[in-house]
Amino acid sequence: MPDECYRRHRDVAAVEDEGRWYVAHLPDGPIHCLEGSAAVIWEELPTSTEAAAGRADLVLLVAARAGVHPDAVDGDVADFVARLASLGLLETVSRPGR
Amino acid sequence: MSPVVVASGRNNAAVTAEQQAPVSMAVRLQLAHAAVQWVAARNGIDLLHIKGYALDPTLREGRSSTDVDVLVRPDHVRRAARAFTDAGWRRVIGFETGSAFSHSLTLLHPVWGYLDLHRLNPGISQGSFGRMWERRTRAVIGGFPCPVPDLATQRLIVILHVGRSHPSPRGRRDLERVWYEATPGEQNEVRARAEELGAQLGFDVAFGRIEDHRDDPAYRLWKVESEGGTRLEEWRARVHAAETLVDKVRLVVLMPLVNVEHLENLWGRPPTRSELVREFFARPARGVREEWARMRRPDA
Repeated sequence: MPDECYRRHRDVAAVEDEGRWYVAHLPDGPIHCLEGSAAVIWEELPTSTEAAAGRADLVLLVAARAGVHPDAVDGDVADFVARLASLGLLETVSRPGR
Repeated sequence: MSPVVVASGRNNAAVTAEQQAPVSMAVRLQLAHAAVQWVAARNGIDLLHIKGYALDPTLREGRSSTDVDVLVRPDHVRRAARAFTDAGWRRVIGFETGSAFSHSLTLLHPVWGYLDLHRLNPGISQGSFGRMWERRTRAVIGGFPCPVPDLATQRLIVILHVGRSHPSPRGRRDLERVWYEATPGEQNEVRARAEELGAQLGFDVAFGRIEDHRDDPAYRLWKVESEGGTRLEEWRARVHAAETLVDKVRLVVLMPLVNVEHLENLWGRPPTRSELVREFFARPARGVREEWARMRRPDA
């Protein structure tokens, strides 16, 4: 089964300011502000020039940052990733199942 | 400006809430530089990001900006103006009416704010873009690599800006940072760049040496810009500084025309036909009044 991988969209500008990330799909925007856990997940997402990360990898990274069990963040990461993709801020890449 | 979505966590890793929040000017401008570069790259436009967040951090400290300034390769200016308006920017002030140097087109975007599209940098000869482009470096702004002038040219651009502004505490601070705090080697590089880019007049104006250039065709223009003057003095200086006869004639024709864009920006609506007629006659009258007041000044 193909595994979905994610990375920041190449047409997205991003600025970090006092722990918040401000991101926008170019050229029109709007500007989205990511704070708290949203900012953490964004920071763990590979950039557009890096290899995309699978959901399981992302969950592990975010859980490690938050100091919680991966099961505690699995659903939230999935929701957030879907939300980012719907806003055009994230690129979804399919890779063959392992 | 645009709505902003805030995604905030309910607990350590949840993403649930969305609400509106303000975005600081600093953040908006950095994203704006990225948006401008995105449009330039998509349309094959060569431009250099100058001033503001495009400045090296060592030169930027203490300076604030409110817009994005870019210098466009002269051959690409028309294409750039079209590309930005196609991408959602709206023309606010045209080249001829923006400043005495007729150097920039001001555009406005509902999300990114103001963009000053320069077809020349006042003080630098118009044919110098190629040399500036060859020496360009990159600054990552909003996550996007943006072409910027090399450090010595960045210093020169700030100095030239000080030169064409009335003396102010900000100007003095800028000179302090980009010139007096520079090493002798860095200052020599700036001097060399001023010579290479035909910027000696503007460079000297910033240091109070304008009278060394009385024979320069642009002398009067810099005199008016740096020390102030009436509308008529400014137009005379612009005509005098124009390099070709065609440019001089165009300026003389433009002079009495009403600046419709200016009125629209001032009033927040387009002027009516009768208001344009009234303004057409009022404009030269204002110029004469200013000239009369200047002549009656004791120091005139």
